[in-house]
This record gives sequence, structure tokens and C-alpha cells, in this order.
Amino acid sequence: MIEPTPLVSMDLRAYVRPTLTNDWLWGGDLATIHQTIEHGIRWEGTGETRSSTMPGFAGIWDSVELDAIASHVLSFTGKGESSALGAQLYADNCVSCHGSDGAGDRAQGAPALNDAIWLYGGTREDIRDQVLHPRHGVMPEWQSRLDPVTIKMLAAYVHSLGGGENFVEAPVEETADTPDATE
Amino acid sequence: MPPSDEDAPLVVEGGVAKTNAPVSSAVAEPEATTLRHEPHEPARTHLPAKLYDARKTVHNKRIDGPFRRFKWAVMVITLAIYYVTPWLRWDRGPFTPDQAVLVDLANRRFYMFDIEIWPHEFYFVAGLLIMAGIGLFLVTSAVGRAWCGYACPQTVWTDLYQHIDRLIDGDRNARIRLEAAPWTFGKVMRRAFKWSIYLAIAFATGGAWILYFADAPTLLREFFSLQAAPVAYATVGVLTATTFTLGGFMREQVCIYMCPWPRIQTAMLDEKSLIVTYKDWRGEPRASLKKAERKPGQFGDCIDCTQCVQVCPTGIDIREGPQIGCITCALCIDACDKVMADIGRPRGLIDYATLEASERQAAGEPAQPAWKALLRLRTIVYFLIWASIGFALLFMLGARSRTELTVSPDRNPPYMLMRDGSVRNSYTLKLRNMRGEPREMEVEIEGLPGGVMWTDSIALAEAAVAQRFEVPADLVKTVRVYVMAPSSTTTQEFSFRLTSLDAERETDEVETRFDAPGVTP
Repeated sequence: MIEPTPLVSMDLRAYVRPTLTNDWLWGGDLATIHQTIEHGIRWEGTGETRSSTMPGFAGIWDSVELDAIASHVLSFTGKGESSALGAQLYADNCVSCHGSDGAGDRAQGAPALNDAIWLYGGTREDIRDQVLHPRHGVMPEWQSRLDPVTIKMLAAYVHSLGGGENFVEAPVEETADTPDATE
Repeated sequence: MPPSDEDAPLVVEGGVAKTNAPVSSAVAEPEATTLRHEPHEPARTHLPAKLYDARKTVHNKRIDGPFRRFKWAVMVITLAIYYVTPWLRWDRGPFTPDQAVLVDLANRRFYMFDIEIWPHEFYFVAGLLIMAGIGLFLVTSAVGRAWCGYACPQTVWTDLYQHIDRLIDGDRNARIRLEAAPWTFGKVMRRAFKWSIYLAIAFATGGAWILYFADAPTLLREFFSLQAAPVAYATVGVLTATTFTLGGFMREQVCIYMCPWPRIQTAMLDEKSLIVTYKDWRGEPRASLKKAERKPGQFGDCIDCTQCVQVCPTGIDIREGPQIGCITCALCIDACDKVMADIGRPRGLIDYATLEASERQAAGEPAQPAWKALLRLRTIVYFLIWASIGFALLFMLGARSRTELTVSPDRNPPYMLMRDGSVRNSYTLKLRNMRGEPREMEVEIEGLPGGVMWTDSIALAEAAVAQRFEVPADLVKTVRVYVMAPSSTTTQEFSFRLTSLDAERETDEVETRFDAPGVTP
């Protein structure tokens, strides 16, 4: 019995690339995608790059507190039992970005914690690791390497991969005179 | 007068003794006729002094008769079909071309009146080619090389060019004199004039060919305003050159030396096929009228007037028996019948006859009507095969669907996870609309519980079990489709069902696979 091997943006622990389905860190409408491609994420040297930094808690929380926070995070998806300590720690340290129900905040690029998509893994161990030593993925900016038209086409393409949000009505195409879908 | 051994010396060739006697001697003896269709070396009128024999121009004489009129009719009909067909119009609505017969290579469509063939239906063309092959078997086994004699383009165009010769230079004798004459100014001018007409016909032939591949009036205008595609000029150039050369100058040499058909057709003839036959048992020995009057009863019906040789478009002597140079156009029958009528002897000294009938007649049995040779097991079986392929093609043509769906799942990645843990697969669908008007089609997921789909232009929020698409006229629409199923879904088969939302309600169903994490069944 062989499972199909996921290769791209599937096994997130191994590849650490965001999916482009419907889980958007910064937003999935055309303008947001376009800006992300133009300026990148955490890319030094451009002022408009998207930036968010989760602080690490190594040396601040002990093992019991880490377990409590991981349990509380897992409780959003019903995989853990929250405790008073966990809820308190979450409310004091995490809620401003990730929200009280773990929905995340696109304005800050804070990932949702209440869904099935985990950028750096969704097990208790993965969550503890991320709280202790947060990893911050980097995406380069493309505006200095691709021309504006290409970036627009790229944004439209990413938007078309099934997770696009806020569709705009396409103008009526004149297919009769310009047949482009010939076999 | 049968030749004696003294004037026909034996020659040993490859260990086989052969005689140099005239051909008629081979059949002058009664017993020789019993070997008519046995593989024996025909006697030759002369042994070649050298292997290469320069071509002798054929100046065929004008003749009239039933076969010549039939040949005229075939020529007029085939040339008319060739030159007129591209100009016929056929209304197919606003989305498809209105040329009745059009091979649209650029858009990969073949139009023939009400029939439109797409590349994936090429088996119709294959079927027609098979019918042409079987049809050739049928015609050849029944009436010999009728294709060569009447319908082959080489024959038709050669015939056309020979008529031009006759029109410009006069009949056989005038042409022979002109060919032998020195190259005076008059002859040069006459030749230049004739060859210009050759060239004009050749150009019209090559020019008509390209009209089958594009809209004829448009292409003609583009062609003469030098705006047509280079391949159009190249095609016309090549076909003009080949028509000019093959039809104007090489003529019967194409049939005798270049063409494979005579060899193949010769192999398909049998002793029951009708071929143009000189009835040597009736004609031999030959003698002029005067000679025959002096010694009545000693000679056959052939008066050696050589009319049959003079009218032959390939320049052979049919009295030497069946040969590769004979295209069975039957003009010699017309010529001989005319002579026989003039001298008061019965017609048919040269006639369509089978080898079998020839043997019987040579043995003294009465002749049977030629049409009886047409009805026999072999021709009937060929006809039945030919007709059943034709009916099968017609049936398929009537029953074919003008709608089709193809599905190719994305292989990489096989699935993706959604926020809520649902599994998503992606597919490329091709919706084929072979009708000449745009159609709305619905694609529905079947056999995938909880499955919904959306596309790159239909948002996830509008995902549903079925989606509708507008497919343009006469085209294939390609759509990327995303299918989402609940997280509990395992890898399984399901299908897409396509339904055209018009009066026909044509459907197509394609089974494909939904991949999911978890254990593969």
C-alpha cells in the first residue's frame, strides 16, 4: 500500500511553503497577491515588504507552560484539552495577533491556528518548537526582476489556482472572432 | 503464312531457347492457343539490338466511337469536378466556413458539404481509402485496368494535352511531318505557342489544387496580389512543373516506366477479367484486302491497316497481346470496329474479352455477351465488402456524437488540503463542441459523496456539484476544474458527466480518480 507522495506545498513540514488553496496568510484577493509578489515577505532592502515577527519564548516558558500553550492551541481544532494556565498564557501573549479563537490576522500575516493547514507542522511537538524558536519564512521581491505586466499575469495566475478571493466580473469575451481554444 | 524455322533462328537466353519469330506465329498453331494464359515468354517481333531504346513520340490519330465518347465524358466530368468544386458554396451558419469542400489544415477541419470531419475522426478518411482500395480490386477484377484507361489523372491530362496537339498542329500525319521538319522560325513559333498553352493548363491545374485548402475567392485574390502564403506559390510551382512535364512531354512513359499501378493491377487481373483483346484466332494470318480477295479463305480478318496502332495514346500494338503499355482505353476497339464496318466484316476483332472466353472462342465456341463476365463470385464478394464498409461509414456518420468530454487529472500534486481539512483535486477538462453554433453544457460530478467543484473563474464560494459552461461554436473549450471533498474522503473513482443543454441533450461520461491522503484502497 503506497500513499501518493505529495510533492509541492503539501507536506508542509518538509517544504515549508504556504499552500495556495484557500489558506492565505496575507489575503487572497488579486491586489493582495499582487503586492506580495511585488515586494516579497520579510525581504530586506525594500520598505514595502510584508513583515511580521513572532517572538520566541525560549528561556521564558518552562516545559509545563509550553505544554499548556500547545494544548490550548490544539483545542481550537479539537485535538487538545485547554487548561486555565494555557488559556491565560494565550490571552496574555498570543491573542493580539492570532485572535481569541485562533483565527489569525491577515493584516499582520498571523496564521490561523484553527484550521487544518499548519505551515510548520500541526503536532504538539511542532507547535512547541515553533513557540520556542519561531521560524520566519522569506519570499523574495520580484518587482526588480519581473516587469509589471508579468507580475500582473503572475498574480492572476496564482489567483486562478482555486483559492482566489473577491472575483471580479470578467469582461465579455469575443470568442467567435478569435478562436483560441482549438484542439 | 506461318514462318518456317529457317527465318526464325533460335536464341538461347538464360538457358531457355526463344524464337525470334513474329508474335502471330505463336498463335497460328491451334495447339498454341491452349497455353494462352500459361506463363510463357511471348515471342517478339525482333530481338533488341541494344538495351536502351529511345522514346518514339506518340502521335495518336483522331478517332470517334462509343469508347472515345465515353472517354470524352469521363474527361469532361473529372476535369469539371476538379476545377469547379472549390468554387461551390455551402451555408453552414456564421461560425464555420461556407466552402462546400475545404481541407482546413490550419484549423484541422475537413468540410465536405454537410459533413465536417475533425482530426480524431480520421478513421472516416481511412475508411474511404480502404473503400478506394477495394473499389480498385472490384473494378480491376471486372473490367481490368479501367482506372488507367479512363479515370487516372495522368490519362485525363495526357488526353487533354493530346487534344491540344491535334488542335494546334493537326492530326497524326501533320504532327509527324512537323516533328521531322527542321527548326524553322515558323516551327519555333508554333512550338512556343503550343507550349504556352501547355503551361497555362499546367498552371490552372496547380492553381486549382491550392483552392481546396483555403477559401477559394479570398485565396485567388491574395495569390494574384502576391499576398498568399509562400507554400501556396511553392505548391502551384511544383504542380505546374509536374503537370507541364508529365502531361505535356512524358505522357505514356509515366504509365509504362514510372507508375506502380500497372504492376499492381496486372497482378489483380485473372483469366475472368475483361481486357482489351485482339482476337488473333480470328484475325491471323493478316493480309491486305486485295491479297485476301486473291486467295479467299486463307487469311484472317485483320487487314493490317494499323489503325489500332495509330489511335493508341500509348503507342503500342495491341495485336502483340496484353502488355504493360496497354491502359485499356479501348480506342483501338473504336478504330477497328470502324474499319470492319467499312470493309463489311463483323465488328469486335479487337474487343473487351476475358482470357477464358478467348480460349473458348479460339476453340470454336460461340461468344457470350461481355457483361456476363462481370457477375461472378469474386466481383460479387468484392462488391459486398466494398458496400458494407460504405454502409458502416454512413451509419457511423449518422450516429456520431457532436459532443465529447475528456478529463486529465493533475498528477502533481495529486491532492491539496483546504483550510477545513477538505481534500482538493484539480482536473483539466476539455469540452468539445462539434456543432456550428455555441452551446451551453453542464458538467456534473457523479459518485463522489460531498464533492463540489469550482473553476479558475468560478469562485470557491460558488462551488457546486454541477457547473455550466458556454462552449464556442466548432471548438474545444479547456477548463481547469477544482473538486473538493470532505476530509474523510479516501482515494476513489468517480466520474464527470457532460450534458449539452440544447435540444439534442448529448451526453458523455468520463471516469477518473480522486486522490486523498490516507490509505489507497
